[in-house]
Order: sequence, then C-alpha cells, then structure tokens
Amino acid sequence: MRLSRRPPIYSLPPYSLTGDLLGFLRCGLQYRYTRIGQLPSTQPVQMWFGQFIHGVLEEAYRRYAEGRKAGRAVPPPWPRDVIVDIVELIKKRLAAQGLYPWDEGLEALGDARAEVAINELGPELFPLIQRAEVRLTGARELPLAKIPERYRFRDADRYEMVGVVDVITHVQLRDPSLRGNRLVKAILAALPQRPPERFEVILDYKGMRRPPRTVREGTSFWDVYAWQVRTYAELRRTHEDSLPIAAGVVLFVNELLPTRSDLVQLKREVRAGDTDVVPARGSEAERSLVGWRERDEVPRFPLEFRLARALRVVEVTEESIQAALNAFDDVVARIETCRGKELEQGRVLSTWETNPSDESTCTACDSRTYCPAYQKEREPRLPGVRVRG
Amino acid sequence: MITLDDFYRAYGKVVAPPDREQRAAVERPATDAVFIVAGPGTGKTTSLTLRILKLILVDDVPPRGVLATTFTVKAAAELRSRILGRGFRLIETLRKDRALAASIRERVARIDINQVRTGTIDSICEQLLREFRDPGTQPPVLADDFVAKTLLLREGLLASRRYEDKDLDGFLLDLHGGSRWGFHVGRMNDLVQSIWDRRFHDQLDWPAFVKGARREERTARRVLGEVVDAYAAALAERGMVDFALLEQEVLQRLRAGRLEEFRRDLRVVLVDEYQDTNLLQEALYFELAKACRGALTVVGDDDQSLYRFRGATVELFSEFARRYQQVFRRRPAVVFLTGNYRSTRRIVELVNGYARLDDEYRTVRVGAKPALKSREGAPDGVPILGMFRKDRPTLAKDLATFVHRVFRGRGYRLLDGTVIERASEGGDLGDCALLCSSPAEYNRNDDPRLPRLLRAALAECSPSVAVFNPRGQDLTEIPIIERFGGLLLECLDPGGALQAQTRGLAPDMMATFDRWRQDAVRFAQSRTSPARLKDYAVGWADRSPGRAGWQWPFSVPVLELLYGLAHFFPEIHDDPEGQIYLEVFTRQVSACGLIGKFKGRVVTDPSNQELSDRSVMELLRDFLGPIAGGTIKVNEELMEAFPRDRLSILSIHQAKGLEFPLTIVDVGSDYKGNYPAQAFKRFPTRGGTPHAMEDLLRPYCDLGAPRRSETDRAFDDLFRQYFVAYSRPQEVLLLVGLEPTFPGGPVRNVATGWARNGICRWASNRPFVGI
Repeated sequence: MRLSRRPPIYSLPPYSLTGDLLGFLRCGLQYRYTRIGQLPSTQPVQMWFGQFIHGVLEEAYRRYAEGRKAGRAVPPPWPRDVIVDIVELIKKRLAAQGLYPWDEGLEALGDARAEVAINELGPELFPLIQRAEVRLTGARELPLAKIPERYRFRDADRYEMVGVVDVITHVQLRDPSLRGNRLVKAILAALPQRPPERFEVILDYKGMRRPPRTVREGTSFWDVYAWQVRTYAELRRTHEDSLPIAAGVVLFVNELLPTRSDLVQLKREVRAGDTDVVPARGSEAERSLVGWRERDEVPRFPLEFRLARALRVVEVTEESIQAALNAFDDVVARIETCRGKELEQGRVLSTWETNPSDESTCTACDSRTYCPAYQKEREPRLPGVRVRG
Repeated sequence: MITLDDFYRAYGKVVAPPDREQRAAVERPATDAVFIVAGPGTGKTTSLTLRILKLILVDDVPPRGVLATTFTVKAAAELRSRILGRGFRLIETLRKDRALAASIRERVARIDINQVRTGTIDSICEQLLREFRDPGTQPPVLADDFVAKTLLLREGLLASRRYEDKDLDGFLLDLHGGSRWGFHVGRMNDLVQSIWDRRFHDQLDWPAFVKGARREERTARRVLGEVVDAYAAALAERGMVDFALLEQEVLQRLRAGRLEEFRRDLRVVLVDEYQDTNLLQEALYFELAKACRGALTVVGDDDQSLYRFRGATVELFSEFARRYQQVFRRRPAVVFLTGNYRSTRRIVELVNGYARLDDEYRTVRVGAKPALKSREGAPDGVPILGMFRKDRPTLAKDLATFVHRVFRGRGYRLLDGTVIERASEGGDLGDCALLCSSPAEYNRNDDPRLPRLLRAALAECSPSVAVFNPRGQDLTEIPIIERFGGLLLECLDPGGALQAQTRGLAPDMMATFDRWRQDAVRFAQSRTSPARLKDYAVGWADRSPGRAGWQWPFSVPVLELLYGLAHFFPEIHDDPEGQIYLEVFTRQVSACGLIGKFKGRVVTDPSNQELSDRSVMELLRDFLGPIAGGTIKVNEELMEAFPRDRLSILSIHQAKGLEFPLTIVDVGSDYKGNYPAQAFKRFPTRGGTPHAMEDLLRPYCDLGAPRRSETDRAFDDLFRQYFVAYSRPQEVLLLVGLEPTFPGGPVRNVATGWARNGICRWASNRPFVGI
C-alpha cells in the first residue's frame, strides 16, 4: 500500500512593492534576515526618517481634509505651533513602535523637512488629494516558468501583490481653483500628450534624495521606482472610484530641503551628467549651485527648482505597465527560488542572492561580517569612537 | 450578476464541484444567518470560500462588503489564498464563458476580489482602528506577546515584589494545580495574563470579582487587582494596547455607533473556527452582524474545540442558534457537513465510534449531529494499527524501525502481507507526523520521553533520520540558547556583579543565568570555541574597543552585541532553525526597547557609573530575564513549512487543521500505571488550570458558573483532543503506547477507549491490529 504525498498547504505568498520588492533588490540576503526573519536593524535611521515624513504628511492632510469636510478648508502654510503639534504626534507614534532618531542633528533635519513639506508642498498637493494611504492588492500568476522545478515548494498558482499608495490625486483640468497649481503644471508639462479632462495621479513619497538616472553598477532604483508606481497604477485601476490614471509621481522629499552632503552629491552628478534635473542656464538656482562650496552655508534654492528636483513624473501607459508587471514577476521568481533553495538545502548564506554594489547598504547591514559577498569586514569590530584631539 | 447555474458551471471547470451538503451551505441567501457544523475533512474552508465567491458573483455583494475571519494567522492566510486563488480562476473562466452576455462578462471582469477583508479577528480590529481613525489621534500600537508579557512581569509582578506576596502566591498556585513543580515567576506571569485576558474575553464584572472573594482570598485578589492595574497603566502610558484591549476597544466603538464608514459598506460577516470563540468575540461578531442586518455565517466543529485554555467557550458554538435568536429574533439556518474527503473508511469509522464512545460526551455535542460519512469511492484502507511495548526504549526503537522501513527502506510489511510504502514520487518523512499531547522531550524527572528516545533511535538508523520538534525542548535549555545567553550575560555583566544587585530578577531567572554563564565560559575556553570570540567577548566585558585612539561609545544598541556574537555561530546565522532562536533574542530586545528607559542600549559613562550600571541592569531584567524565566516562546510563524526530510513531532494542538498520509498518535508512552500525577492527561480525577479558571471567573460574567463539573469538562477536553488526533490521517493511523495502556489493561486512558464511567469500550472491541 503506497502512501500518498502530503499535499502542501495552499497559500498564496503576499509580496509587497516596498518591503519585499525593493528590499530584495537592495540585497537578497539582507532581505532574508530582516524581512523574512524579522531581525531588526541596529541602525534604523532611514526607517525612522521615512516613516516620520510619511506620518507627518498623512496627518497634515487628515487635518486639512477634516476642515474641508466641514466646509472650512485651511490650506497650509500653517503656523509653527500647528506644525510642532503634528511633528510631536508622529514622533510619539514612532517612539511607541521603538523608532527614534537617535541623533539630534537628524531630528532637527526631520523637523525642518516636515515644515517645508507641509508649508511648501502642502498648498499645492492637499487640494488635489482624493484619498491618502490607499491599500492596493492584486493577484498575479506565480511565474512558475522562471522558478526551477526543484525549488517550487508551494501549491499555489498565484501570488498576491500588496502596496500602499501614499496619495491618490484627482485632477479636473478646468477646475479654476487649480489654475496656477505648480504640481498640476509640472505633471502636464512632463506628459507627452494632454490627459483626459478628469484624471488621476498616483503619488508616492520617498524620504530620500532624487536618485541618479544613470547607475554604473547594481540595481537601478531609478527604474525600480518607475515600476513601483506603474504597478500601483495597475492595481488601482480596478477600483470602482478610479479615474483614468495619467501618471505616477515619485516625490523625493529630501530635495525640498537638501543638506550639505546632498549638494555635494548633486554637484558630482551634474558634472557626470547622471541626473536629469539641473538648474536652468542663467537661473538663480544655477548661480547658487555653481558658486557653492562645501564650507558654505546651504543656500535656499527657489521653490520651482526644489519642486522640479523633488518631483519625478512617470508616464503610465499600457506597455509601461506590462513591463513593470513583468519586472515584478521576475523579482518574485527570484525570491521564490531563494526560498525554495533554503528549504531544500537547510542553509541561508549559500541560498540567497547577494548584492554588494551599494556600499552604504552593506556598511549599514548587520550581517556584513559573514556575508559571502562583502569582503571588507570579515569579523565584527568592537564599538568605538575616535578620541578627539 | 450571474445565475447559480452559471456559477456552478464555471466552478466545475476550476475544481471539483461541491457536494449536496456543501451546496446547502453555499446557496443560502446573502441576508441569511447560517450555522455550519463541519466535521473534520468535510471541506469546511472550501465551503466557506465558495459561499464568499457565490455572494460576490451571484448575489452582487461588493467584495469590500465581505468580512471573513478565522482563528490563527496561518488559517487566515490559507482562507485568503483560497478566496483569491479560486476567485481569480473562476473570474477568468466566467470572462471567457460565451454563454454569458458580454455586459455580464465585462462586469465580472471588473470585480476586485482582493477587496474582501480577511484576517484574524485581532488583525481586523487593528486594521479598523488604523484605517478609520480621526485626525490628531494615534492608531493603536499593538503590544505583541513579548511586550505584553514583559510589561506585565516588570510592572505587575516584579515591581513592589508582588510576586513574593504569600496570598497571591497561594492563589495562583491553586490555579496551577497545587504542585510547586513548574511553578515559577514565568508561570505566575502566564496565569495572571490569562486572568487579565479573560477579564475581557469573558466580559467580566471585574470590580465584583476583586471584591467578591471569600475572606481568605480577598487579599490575593486585591494584589492581583494591583498587578493588572499596574500593567494597564504601563500600557496606557506608552499608548499601547494588547490583544484583549484591542478587541475591547473595537467593541466599544461599534456599540457607540462609530466606525460608520466601515459599517456602511459591510454586507456579510463570516467566521471560521467558531468553536474557539469567546464572549468578547461573540459580542464583536454580533455587533458587526447588526451592521448587515444579521447576515452572519459561522463555521466550526464543537468536537474540535481545543482552546479552552485560551478562553474559548465551546458553548457559544454549540448553542449558537439559540444565542443568535436571542439577539436577532430569528433562527439561523443549520447545515451539517458530514462527507469526509480526507480519510479511508476505516479511519472515518474509528473517528465516528470515538465520538460516540462516552455517553456523557454525547450530551455536550451539538444537538442532532450526524455521523461523518466516507466519500463515495473512498478506500477501506489498511486497518488501524497499534504498537504497544513493555517500555519506552523498546517502543522508541520499534517505532524508529517502522518509520525507517516506510520512508528509507522497502516498506513495512503487516501480518496480512500488506506493505506500507512511501509515495513513489517524492514521498518522504514530511508525509508523516507523530502527534503527542506534549512534544516535550523530557519529563518532570528529566527522564527522556518518547520524542527524545525516538530522536535518538532514528539517529542510529542507517541512513539516519532527523527529527523536527521545535516545541520539544524548554527554550532555556536549548544548547545554543544557553550558550548565546551566557555570552551575552558575560559581555554585559562579567562575573554577574550587576546581576546580584538587579531588582526584579526572580530566583529561577538567576539560576538560569548562572547555568548559562557557566556553559558560555566553558565554551569560550574550550578548543572548539571560534577564534577571536574570546577577544570580542573580553572587549565587550571591558568596554574596550581594542584600538589605539578610540574609546568606547557613550551608548551602543545591545543589538550590535547580539549580531556581533551571531557572527561566531554559523548554527545561528546560517541555519534556518538557528534564525528562529536568534529572533527570540531580537524580539525581546525590541520589547525591552519599547518599555525601558534605556531603549535597549548599553550606556557607558565613566563619569557616571551608576547610569552605566542601570542600563545594564535594565537589559538583564527586561531583555534576558524574561527569556531565562521561561515567559518567551519561539515564533512558529517564522517556520515556513515542516521540513520534508525530517520526522515532525507535534502537539495535537499544533496539528489541528493539518492532515498527514501517515499519522502516529502517542496514546500512552508515559503511562506505566494509574499514577495520579498523570491522571489529567489520560483519565482526569479533577479539572486542570483552564477549568479552575472558568470556575473562578465565570460567575462574574453573563454566562454564569459552568453547569458541568470541572472533572467532566476535563474529560470533554480529552475526548476532543483525541478526536482531533484520530481525524488527522489520510491513509494510515498508528497508535503507540506502553503495554499497560493496552485497551482493557490496568491504565485507564481516554485515548484508548475508556469512557468516564470506568468502562473501556475498546477492551472487547479493539479497533486496531497490533504490530
């Protein structure tokens, strides 16, 4: 009498656009430890900053929307005490989750960026918002053909795509109140053809500077962010309340208030031709950038230039959506293959992809000393700070 | 949108169509209340999935109007997977169905099945409070079990040394069962947490409970009140809620008419595993159902209710029809699912016989419950097998031989010549499991139990076979945890000078610390110790960076030490099982970071030694203390799957909802005689902790004191436990035990056919053949 084979549990793996897709592309092994294994980072600085900015903008919008619902919308700029109230609320929320800035400089920078984001971006953005923090889900066929048969370990034919869009905006071109809106102007200017009379735009905040367009080695996050908003567009368009999606916008919040190191990097990228938004010839922004030296104070660039650097408009077409979905499938197949290998071999280090191309990702990684791909640090160093003088 | 016929036609192209009983459950109109009593292997999840898809496709219920919940995270993932997996295939089939009008096909194509809301009741409550919150308010920060246990321990029991209070000690010891064995501060914490949870789960009149004691208990209850008040205050101060408070908060909001936007969209509520519901959850489901005019479908099986110890009240299921009627003034439709699709006829026969074995047990089952029926064409299968041996080592050896022959040899030949062999394609040990009432590898006297002996016997086979038993060992005694814990202690507090001064470390925690330290020191000095480990540990112990021109930082996250040590242990950083243990430490660091003053960091300030010491003492108390105290368990959600090349050993509770082609059930490898200390596991003479807890608390809730004695309820629970165990196998069921537990032998044992009236039904009618 032959026994049967125990049927595997039927479960569709959920893959999120940020935590899974971006996490894996940054480094597969790090993703295994931190996302699948849930091991926290010793340096959660980026996590604090990202969540802080998202939280601040969401809370600010909620307050604006509450006023709008009551018929007395007061768009920013808002007085400092209101901003402080919002900022402190979010800090408290993050602290309750164990997230702290740990550095007064970072905290002050966060406060300043929060204020700029609310008071300079808010007046343009908030009137356009239809919904904030929109959870999107969809299911796609598991790309089985891309997963070697021996590593297919689940009885599932699909995977679930999960994402949270920061903001969905509705735009009516003839709406007089939107005349002169800088965001609308920037979006329309970036699109190759005029969108329909009413359309929507998916907007995603990133608590980082605008990445270079050209990447010489490793993953191009320029491309990855474009896939991300295009995938959002695919998931969003099944919603009953959706309008035709004309574009996705990735908003790099740090560009609204760049730091000294941001400017150093910007100058380097401008020289190398790696970035797509540079100051117009003869503009005030160009004068400020060209004349700036590292020891100087960071100049306040005109809002037009900062917004242009902050906004990246991603065109959404049928073809570009399909390309994004295929790219997503590829990454899912790579993750599933690694998972299958780990299950088969009972090992972690040799079964996950590594990506040592970005030094800052590696130096912040808690597994760097035993990572097979990172050779600069082969054993843990004891904590230490240089003695001054 | 489409007709029922269209629906079934399309569904039949996706998977096997439902049977008559399943159709009855699926087809009830969307507005109906439905009470589905579903025996094991009868396609409960399939029916629930199909009903949801029918509501959407036939009854036009918008997907976001459907809320479906179940008991565990894993079950919720499976339910969602089925809804999406089947739903998408069904939609694709309908889109191509030329028999449908183009306009209908277009409408079907627009359905976004993902919008069905699924999850455990806790995850749903968390979602609701997050998504539908007012501006200026905080979404709830959920204190997970690590944080909750640590806060309760620190602020409730250890603060003011309440754990030393004699009245409280006696009160909790009574609930524990009266024996000091296994009664330590971690156990006290578990008991207090159960009472706290039940305060909400049973919707207790708490002030009445605290005041209403007999004189000798009054002080204990007052101290208990202080413990939980301190815990509640500590949560509130941090803006946190635990699971019980989370559900209570949502209930209050629903009762106050809030969460309008969510209630407006809600059309149908469906609840799986309803037999494990408590009074708070019932109240939540009824409030949600009020938002959709009573459209509530519940599914479950009273015979499979195993979670009394977590506050589940099976009567809420067995009396669902009456309780629903009291609130909604109409009776739900009752549907029985009895067609078993899992097991052979012989196994189904055994399960049916077992459910009817005890007259008393029959009285508590859902009224008029029919027997399970084998599906048409189900094979008879091999007889149920029994392996009873004179002692545990012999049993372990023979069982290892059996397993080895089936999965690594040419099969196991029965007396009638039948050979049991592994599946020809890809058959492996993952097709088999050993189920025990407890998978612990050692007993109270530190003697090896069957899981341990079997592990050893399988290791001696050629080729050897490994065992997967993550719950088998006390976490504090797992060698890698001991060593890692000891190294952390020696790095943070070399020699234990601060440990001795740390308030709030119970004696059993200190004893474990000392054991860990000794192991770590021995290891670090041994030849097998990795090169440079000692230097690293000494550097930490001395707070010396070991580099000229550098000094030790003022504040370092203890996580850095944790990961630094992990570097030296490939069994931690390169083994998936080791990762699960590492996660125990990191989760507890996070909990410590959330509740402590030093946020999980080591402060080193040569000008303020007291500050430095306090940061370490906080880590000893809130990070390592709870692990050493036995409060912390491994997170089984991190285990992706049972490894297919190892024999899984599971508790019967863990096995619920699972099935295995070959299931081995330990019915009595521990019992050589009728020893009273083991009675609760085989033939109770009194109730256990969950029953004592019910007797203590239920008088203060609407349900009132339990009607049945605690001994009877303990018997009922044992029958349910083995009902679940015997209904797991698909093809072969093997019962194993010692000879004294052979039916009709000297040991009274519910698992081997004894009814509570003292008659062994299996003695004269043995349902298995011996091997």
